[in-house]
Amino acid sequence: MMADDDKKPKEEVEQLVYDFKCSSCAMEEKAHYKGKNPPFSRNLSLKYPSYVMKDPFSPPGKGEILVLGSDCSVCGISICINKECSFFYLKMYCIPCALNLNETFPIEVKSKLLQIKK
Amino acid sequence: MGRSPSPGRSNYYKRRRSRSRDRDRHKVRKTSPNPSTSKHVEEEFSFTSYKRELNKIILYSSESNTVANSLDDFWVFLKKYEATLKKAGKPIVDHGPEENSDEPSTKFSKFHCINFTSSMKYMDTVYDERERRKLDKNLFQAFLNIGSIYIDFKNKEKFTKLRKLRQAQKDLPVAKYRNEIVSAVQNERVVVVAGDTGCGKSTQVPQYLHEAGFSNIACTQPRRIACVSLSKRVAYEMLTQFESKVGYQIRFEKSKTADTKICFITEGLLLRQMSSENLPNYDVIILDEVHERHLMGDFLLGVLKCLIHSRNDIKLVLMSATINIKLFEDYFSAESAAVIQVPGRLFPIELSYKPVLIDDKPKRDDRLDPQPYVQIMQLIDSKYSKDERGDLLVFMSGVQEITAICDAAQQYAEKTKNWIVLPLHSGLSLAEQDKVFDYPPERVRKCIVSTNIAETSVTIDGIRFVVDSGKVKEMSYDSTTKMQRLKEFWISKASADQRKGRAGRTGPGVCYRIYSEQQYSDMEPFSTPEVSRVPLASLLLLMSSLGVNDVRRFPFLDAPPEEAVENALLELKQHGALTSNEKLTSLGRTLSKLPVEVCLSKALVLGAVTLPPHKRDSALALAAALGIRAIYTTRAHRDFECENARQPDESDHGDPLTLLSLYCAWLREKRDTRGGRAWCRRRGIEEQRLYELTKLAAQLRSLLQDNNLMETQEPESMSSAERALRHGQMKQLKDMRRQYKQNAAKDLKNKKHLKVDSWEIVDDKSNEDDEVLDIRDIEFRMTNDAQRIQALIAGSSASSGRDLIMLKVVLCRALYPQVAVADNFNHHKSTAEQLYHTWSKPFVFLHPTSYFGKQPRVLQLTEADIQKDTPAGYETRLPLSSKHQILCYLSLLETTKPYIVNSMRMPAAQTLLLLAHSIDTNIGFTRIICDAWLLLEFPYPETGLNLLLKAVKLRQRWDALINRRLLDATPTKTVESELEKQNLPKISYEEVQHELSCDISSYMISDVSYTIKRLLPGDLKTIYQGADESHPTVEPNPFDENFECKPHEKKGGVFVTDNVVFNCVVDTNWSYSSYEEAYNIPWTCPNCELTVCLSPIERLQHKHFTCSLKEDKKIATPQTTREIKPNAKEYTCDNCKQTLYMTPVEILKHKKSCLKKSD
Repeated sequence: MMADDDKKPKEEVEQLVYDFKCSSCAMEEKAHYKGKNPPFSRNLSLKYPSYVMKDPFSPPGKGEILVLGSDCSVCGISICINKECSFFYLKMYCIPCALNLNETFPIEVKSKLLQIKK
Repeated sequence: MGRSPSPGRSNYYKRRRSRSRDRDRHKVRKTSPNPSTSKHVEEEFSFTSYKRELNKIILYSSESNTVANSLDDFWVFLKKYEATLKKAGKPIVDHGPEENSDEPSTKFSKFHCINFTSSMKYMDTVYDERERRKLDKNLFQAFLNIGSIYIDFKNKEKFTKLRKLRQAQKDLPVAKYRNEIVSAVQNERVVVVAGDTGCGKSTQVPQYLHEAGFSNIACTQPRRIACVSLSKRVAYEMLTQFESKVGYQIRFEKSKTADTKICFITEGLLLRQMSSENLPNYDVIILDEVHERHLMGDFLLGVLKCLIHSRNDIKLVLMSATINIKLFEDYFSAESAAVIQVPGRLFPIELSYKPVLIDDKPKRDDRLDPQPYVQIMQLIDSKYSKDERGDLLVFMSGVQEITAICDAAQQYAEKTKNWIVLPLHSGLSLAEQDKVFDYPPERVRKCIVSTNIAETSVTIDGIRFVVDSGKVKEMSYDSTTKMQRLKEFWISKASADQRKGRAGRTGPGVCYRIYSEQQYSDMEPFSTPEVSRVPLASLLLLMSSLGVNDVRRFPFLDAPPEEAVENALLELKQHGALTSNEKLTSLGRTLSKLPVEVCLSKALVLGAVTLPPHKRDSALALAAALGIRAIYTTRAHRDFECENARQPDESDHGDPLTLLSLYCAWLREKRDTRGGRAWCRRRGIEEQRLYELTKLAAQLRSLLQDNNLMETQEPESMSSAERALRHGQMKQLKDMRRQYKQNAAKDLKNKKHLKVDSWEIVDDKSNEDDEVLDIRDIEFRMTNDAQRIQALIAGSSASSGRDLIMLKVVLCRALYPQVAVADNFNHHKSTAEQLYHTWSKPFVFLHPTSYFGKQPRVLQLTEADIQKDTPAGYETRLPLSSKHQILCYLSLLETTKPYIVNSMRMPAAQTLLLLAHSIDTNIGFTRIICDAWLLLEFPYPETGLNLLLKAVKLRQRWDALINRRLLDATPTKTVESELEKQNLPKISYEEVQHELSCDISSYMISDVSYTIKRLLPGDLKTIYQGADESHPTVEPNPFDENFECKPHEKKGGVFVTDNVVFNCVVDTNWSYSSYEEAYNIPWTCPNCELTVCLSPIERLQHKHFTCSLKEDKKIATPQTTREIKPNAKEYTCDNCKQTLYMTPVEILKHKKSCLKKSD
């Protein structure tokens, strides 16, 4: 997963790059962080470990992040946050896994999933 | 409580759709709003009541986040969110799920659907007395939950933006060829990617290659603006808009850093990088738009073709439109170029030929008939519903034609009220040009009437109709006369197709051609490449400096005409840039480094060498002013008020000095007031050009400094108060710049809308916005502080005296042989009919917008200037005067007539004798021919000889100064040159410069009467003695002791210097008798009082070599030989008014002797 992108010696942390690829829609981006507490935005945390990039649309140093997706909590494939690819309820699920687990969710979640199924 | 229980599903935030609906339906654990004071329970709860406290917490939080970054937007969101909850009958304060409730099945919370947790620290804010409520920690927690929702919402927004961007990239036609392109570049040396506009090659190919592992990619563009916009776009697409991975490098600025992987660069700059010996380590060089066939692009192709043979590590990618791919393929056939064709994204275009029939043509052929064009507007109105959008683009050949069409179209538009007519050509101000991008109102179409600028350079969206006149005005160049010609031609097939294609960029379109299908098939397949149409001197010089040994054998894509190459080489030799066997001289090397025309770079070098340090800015400003495009708008010469406003700053010396004087006046305006925009508008000047001038001058200065031809200025010391002032100023300027950029970003979102009726007044309106921040002014002030501006003014002004004369002489020497003499009959003629003759091109006119075009009398002799009583025996029909003037000019341009452009007046004989490449004289120095073209006759004895002698000596001194300076500037490698340096007298430059300029300026105003006559080919046959006559050599040689005289092979006579041939011009009756007379009357030497009969040359020899008082004479004029001591100072004697450089002791001595003399 990890790949060295740059050969700059000074910024050790920044060298870490995760090649994120959504297995559902094939979206491919480079993420700067994977986990729950992105270091570039300290008063934000995530409930579920995700692939995070520094927001490419805002100037650096502003603590803006862009969460791309996560690994499915059931099957482990990576999926992006697009609602056709994943479903979030406390954890990240790819759509097939979420549908499989349909019965275990609260009623509100079920109806939501039902909509997605349609 | 006003909470309506309605199950309304309206969105709380406009852009949110499905998600909000979903969540709103979920039951939320009820918590009481619980404001601390029960009194207000009845009142609706809203977090907005706590806005102050909350903002405080958010902003004081040490780390910023999405909420803090867009606080205003967040509050808008929050209000809408609360409103939606209220409508759905749900509580606003929702504390979310209990901690540790990890059982998703048991308790549902909408916050479980959100990945984000905002974790700002709660801060105990001060209790607000007035409001009597307090934000407690629980409430804050609930607030943070809304913050999380907001962050999630924003994240989705950004995510969608990213997806859309990727989708758009994927949809580009070029995307399908990605792998093919990448593998071709990896496996081949040269790859040609051909694809039409809109296929995405310019933005995508560099990215593909970068992602494939190439890490130093150069991508050339013919236009500066494209470099900037492409680098911005590509950086955005690579998600690195805030880094410097993608950069650009253009003439005046660069954003390239060590991190830059992809650099967009102008063709010219890449070429200069190649000459600088340290070509950046590119692994791929992409040449974009090669089909445009610009001079630099063509040359670059040739250079790279050679380069890839010596550098195996460089890959070459050519990108072009699908025109003439074969040409490039063949050119790189030895390198076996891979060709990849990418289809464009063009919609179908309906083509219709609408030739103007001969019968319809008005009687006068030279007038353009706008009717066919208006008819097409009518046709569009009748055929297409006004509800269907789509604008019209009309291609015309030139500004006049555009104006004619615009006027007619405007008349039509006033009747129908559904057209907005806009001209587009490069003469318009940038603001006026930008108008073509604005939106018309509903049911109104834009009619853009443009030159071929809209063919490739400017792309306007929304064009559905194209009208093609089939004509183009193109510059061509006659290298023999050095005249540029702007002539109308039929366009090429490629050009016609390109024009047609402009109709099908956004949807199906229609193209009307105002010519026949037959005409189309008669057209040339491709346009003439620039290399065959422009002056080549700069290019050939650049080639030489790049080490191209034989420019004639350079592998051009299309070889330029042989004659053009030869003439350009001759020009370079005349400038001393090349030796007679075409080797680059050190002057040539220096000239090649300056990015302006050869003659202007020469003016710069001469200026740096000759002018005193504090006046070198004038040469820089002058060269820059002549090097940029014309500063005048189209209004400048039509509007009487503009002409009047400029008048006080006009210089009667001519256009170059008027430019300089206007520039100084503008600088003064900048110093004294804010702005300058209004000042420029009143004078019909495009302010943008003056900023460019300033930047170019600064760039030229630093290049001269790099080449050791100008001292690097020491940072002028500032007092602490000044520094503080400047610091404050900079801060303010930076704030203003930031503000401007924010405004600009906003403006971009809501593009301007055009109005139908206000067409005529729009100009004034958009220009009246002086209140609006002027980014160029801000940037100008950031780089130039008050001191700098003051120094520029002081350095650039040359309004009178020696400074002015020297500046003129420097420029004239650089432009020589571009001089013109007046026709003999000019004084009978009207202003418009004033005729001039140049060496290569007789019968040219003064350009009507030039200073002398308006004031030709300044150039003519007045009655008082003409000497009536000629010396005995001298008879001539030509006026005898000491006031003859010639014009020195920058260029010749033929439009309707051949014109002299940018001219300056100079005293005739003085200039010619000082600068002519060849000077021939008779035995008595009374008849002198300059450059086998102009005959000067000096009827008074010795006047011609003295003037010529002075000129020769000055020229020798000047050349010595230039050579010494260039020698010192070039780091020497050989021992001999080091020794040579040491042997040179150690007189300071300033001293030599000062004396030279004193002597040149007094020489230029010397009062000598003469006639001037232009020689015709017939005259030249009989005016020379010919080599048959025997011609004794001059020994010793008073012109140059070390020069060994040798006979001239054709003209007869002998060379006494490199360029002066003595005794080769035949005598007429008067000149012979004046010579006889001179010989027969005993002559008394003014120094030794020896009286003998001597010929003029013998007298010279006596004075120089045999006169016993020669030594004394030298002492009498000590300036030329005296050595300057280190402690010498400039000193002006009160008594004799001389300015001298002396040590304190010498000053005392001088004072003493001076007083004695006057006693």
